[in-house]
Amino acid sequence: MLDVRNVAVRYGQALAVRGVSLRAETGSWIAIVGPNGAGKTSLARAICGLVPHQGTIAIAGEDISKLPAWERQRRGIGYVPEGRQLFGAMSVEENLRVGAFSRAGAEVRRGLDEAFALFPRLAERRMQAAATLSGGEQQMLALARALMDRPNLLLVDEISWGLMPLLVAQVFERLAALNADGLTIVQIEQNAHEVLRRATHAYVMAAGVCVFDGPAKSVARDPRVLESYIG
Amino acid sequence: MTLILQLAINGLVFGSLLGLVALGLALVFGVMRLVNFAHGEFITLGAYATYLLVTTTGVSPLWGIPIAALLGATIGLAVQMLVISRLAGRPELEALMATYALSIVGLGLFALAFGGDFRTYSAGPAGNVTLAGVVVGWRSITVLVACVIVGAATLALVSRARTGLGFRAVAQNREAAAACGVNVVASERLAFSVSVALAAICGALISFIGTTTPNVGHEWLLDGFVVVIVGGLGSISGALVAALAIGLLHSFASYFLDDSWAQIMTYVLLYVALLVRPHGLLGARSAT
Repeated sequence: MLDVRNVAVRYGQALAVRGVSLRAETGSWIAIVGPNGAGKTSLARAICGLVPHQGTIAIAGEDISKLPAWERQRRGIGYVPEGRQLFGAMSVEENLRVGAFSRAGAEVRRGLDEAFALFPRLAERRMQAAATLSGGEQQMLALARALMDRPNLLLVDEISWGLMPLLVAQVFERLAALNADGLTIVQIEQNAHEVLRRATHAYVMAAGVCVFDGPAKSVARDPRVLESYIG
Repeated sequence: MTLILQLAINGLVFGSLLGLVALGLALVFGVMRLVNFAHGEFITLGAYATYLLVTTTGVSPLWGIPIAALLGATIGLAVQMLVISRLAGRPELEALMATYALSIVGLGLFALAFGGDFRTYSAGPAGNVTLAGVVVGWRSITVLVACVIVGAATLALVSRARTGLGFRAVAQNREAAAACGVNVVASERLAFSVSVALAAICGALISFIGTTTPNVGHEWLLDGFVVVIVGGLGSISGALVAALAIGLLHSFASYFLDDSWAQIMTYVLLYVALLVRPHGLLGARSAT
């Protein structure tokens, strides 16, 4: 599904990601964990085409390294960015419509129906400006927006940030349900213990490199990894 | 009362033209964060295109509206692709200076081609109509109706159409829009093209009721900037409200004081607006 090879991201003189490779098989749930400044978000942004990068990124066997962000989205990458990045002045429904920008008519309506069925609270807030939603509702909207175009791969960056524990549990349950339906998930998360409990495979990043990878359960039990990189 | 109505109608005609100027400026600023100093020359382009069309073919100047729109959209697209897009990612000041350079080049080209003569034509709607004692020229009515139609169509494009949804998404968060599948490069090209088409239509309408000179667009541009700032940078509905308010202010001040006072009051209003409502009448306090 996703094949990232030797990807590097540079901001001026600073190298944020230094030759990271990772794979995500169809239907898998990949966790990318590590301390602040490890390069996790830069890697996610590189996969989405939001920052220039070196190395190759392929999705379903197609090299998308040279494609702009909107073309990558149309190849099936749904992105829930760090900090939600909603269109605050637009309504909930308009945010969702942007999420299905490359779709037309009936497909958009079907997407809206599915989003409101998955997140009934958003249906109640349908015409409300996104900026006026609570943090949890905004996170639901960011997730629903990313799902509007029926992605094959969902890239989720710090989805639990700023949420109450109860809401975090609900968000993880939603992701688990989506993954059970066959959606491939690549999740970047500071809340490492929760994501390692659910993911199939994990990559541990530090200082821009991947320092360890393996089955998520074994990463969660490895005392050296936990102590040095996760805490 | 008749005098008040007369001045109000004059103000509405002036304000509606100002609204079209500001609509184009606000669209480009909103979507591209670009202050387009060359917008005035695109107004001049529409005015001269209509003047040439009418004086060489003898057709009604109403034909100038679609012709100017088409010409403006095409030239706008070319300028965006050849000049503006090459400045993507560079400091905003560089893009601003590039549009200023375009403006100077345009001004020079119009002066070379047409000289400094005042150009007018007599074809098209003529005469006046008297409504409740108020005398209004058919040309002014034509301008007002055309501005309302073009303004409403632009608002519908921005607020209802899928293209407008893309414009608004890019305006609010370019990166998030791209990650959602919005082709931000195409959106910027289209926004610039629509903006120049609006300027050219405005020029065509100005040629109905005024004289055409190489400076005509430049004169409207300054008031257009005032409207955009008072309305709220990038806010299209704010720009329209501000345009009508400034149009009325200008009309009443010109009559009861004089033209110079009308200009002074317009810029005093700008100063007060910057002090009291720096985000504009309907502009957002901050981007979310």
